Amino acid sequence: MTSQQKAVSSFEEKFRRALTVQRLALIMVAITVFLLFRPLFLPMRISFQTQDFYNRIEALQPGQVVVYSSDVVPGDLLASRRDIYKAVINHLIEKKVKILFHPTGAGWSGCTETLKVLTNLGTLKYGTDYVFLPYVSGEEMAWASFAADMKGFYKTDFYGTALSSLPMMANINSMRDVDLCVVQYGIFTWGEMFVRQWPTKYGVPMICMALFSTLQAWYGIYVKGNLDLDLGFAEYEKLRMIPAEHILTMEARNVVSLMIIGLIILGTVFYWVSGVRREARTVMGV
Amino acid sequence: MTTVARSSAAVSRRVYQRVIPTFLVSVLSGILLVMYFFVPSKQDPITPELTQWGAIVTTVSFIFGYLSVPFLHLRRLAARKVNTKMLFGSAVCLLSLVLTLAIIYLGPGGSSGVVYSTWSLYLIGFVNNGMRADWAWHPFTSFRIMRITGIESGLFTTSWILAVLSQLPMVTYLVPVLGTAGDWIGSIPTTAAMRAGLACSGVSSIVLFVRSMVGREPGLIEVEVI
Repeated sequence: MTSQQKAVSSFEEKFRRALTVQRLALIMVAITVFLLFRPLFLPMRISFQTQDFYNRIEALQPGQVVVYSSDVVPGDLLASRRDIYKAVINHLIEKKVKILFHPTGAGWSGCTETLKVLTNLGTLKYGTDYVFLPYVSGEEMAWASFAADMKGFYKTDFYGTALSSLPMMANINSMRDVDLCVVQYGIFTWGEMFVRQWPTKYGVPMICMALFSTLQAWYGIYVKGNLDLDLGFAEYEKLRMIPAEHILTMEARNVVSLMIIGLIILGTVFYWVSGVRREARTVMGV
Repeated sequence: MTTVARSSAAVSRRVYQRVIPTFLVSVLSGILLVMYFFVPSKQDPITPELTQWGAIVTTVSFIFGYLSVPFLHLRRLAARKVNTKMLFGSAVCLLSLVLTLAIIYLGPGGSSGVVYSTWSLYLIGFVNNGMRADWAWHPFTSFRIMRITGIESGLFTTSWILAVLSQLPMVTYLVPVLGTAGDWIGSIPTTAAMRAGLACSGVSSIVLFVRSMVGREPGLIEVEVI
């Protein structure tokens, strides 16, 4: 080992010891807090998925039926999902479509009244312009049954009113009567379940609010648009020209992700220059 | 090859854990496969029935899961055979469960009330987001593990970096081609691999069905210690 390699190796060892999780966490918190108070409002491109998602909603005609499926719980709705739910639902309301809310999360009962306050749902007439379904467990099997026979599977709406007595549901019986599905899910295996049970069987177009890698295999065929979580939410909010939190989140992501890439490059340089072939060590503080 | 004498309990377990479920799944999947090709969907009387049974089985498994978690923590607290940190975790988990149930069943408005919404906001919204500070592990481990040491790691790391760069608005604005490159990696090769995997899984399922029906599929249970 040359003296230069020894010096690099020694420096790497010091750097490695200095780079603790606690210090990295502090740096990340500092960056985030700074950007919260001094946002940079950096420019942003719109990805094809987000543009597709936006275009699908824009193409809706008044009176068409949209199923809005979501696993949201009150905590998410009031925190990390607040701005995007508001943006998407208000966009649907602007298009004057009929919205059938299909919950897939057990926390739904805490969300209905909040949704009315957060969005413009309050300006619509319940039962005529939109309907809240109740939460039913069963995941894929329940979604399949719902799609096949909505009024048979759900006898009543969220408030206990018979579905058949609601004006909006007069001509909505199965997924064949739906023009678009907007599906938001957080559990990665759910994407293919929805694809199997709704677009594949009934030909209804589906747009999602989910991690792209969980649905990319069906993108373009069954999935016609997607908001790729925080980045997609930020792009959509920009398209809609709504100043929202996700745009700030993206600014923090810019800095933190570049820091990670920088560290990977630095580690690789150390590896090749020092000539020391260290084993991967990840023990705290090492 | 050695012959292992199995106890009656092991044989019994083998029957209900392997033989019966494999037979049921094979028969049902076989019926559905045949019907997919030969029976028009509107005349299909079996699928709705099976779907409803599927919903029931899924729900029962959920209930089992929901009950298992608190019972696990209760048993841990009762036995006190683990360290203080784990005991503390179990206690916090159970306390949160009790508080949540109390708010839902005793609080004003139940699960639609403002108390539950606020509780959910702080527990699932803020506390959960605060826990994401463990993101600090990403740069920590990335520096130590993700090093380009050869062709394989080079390809992986380069693809990963390009995919990440395409997720950074500042980068894609300044260098638009990086966004296109990331989109291509996330769409074309990844989708191709996933579709190949799906096709492989589909063909394998048919092979598994046929092997099960002729009694040639041992199943994973064989690798368990009996």
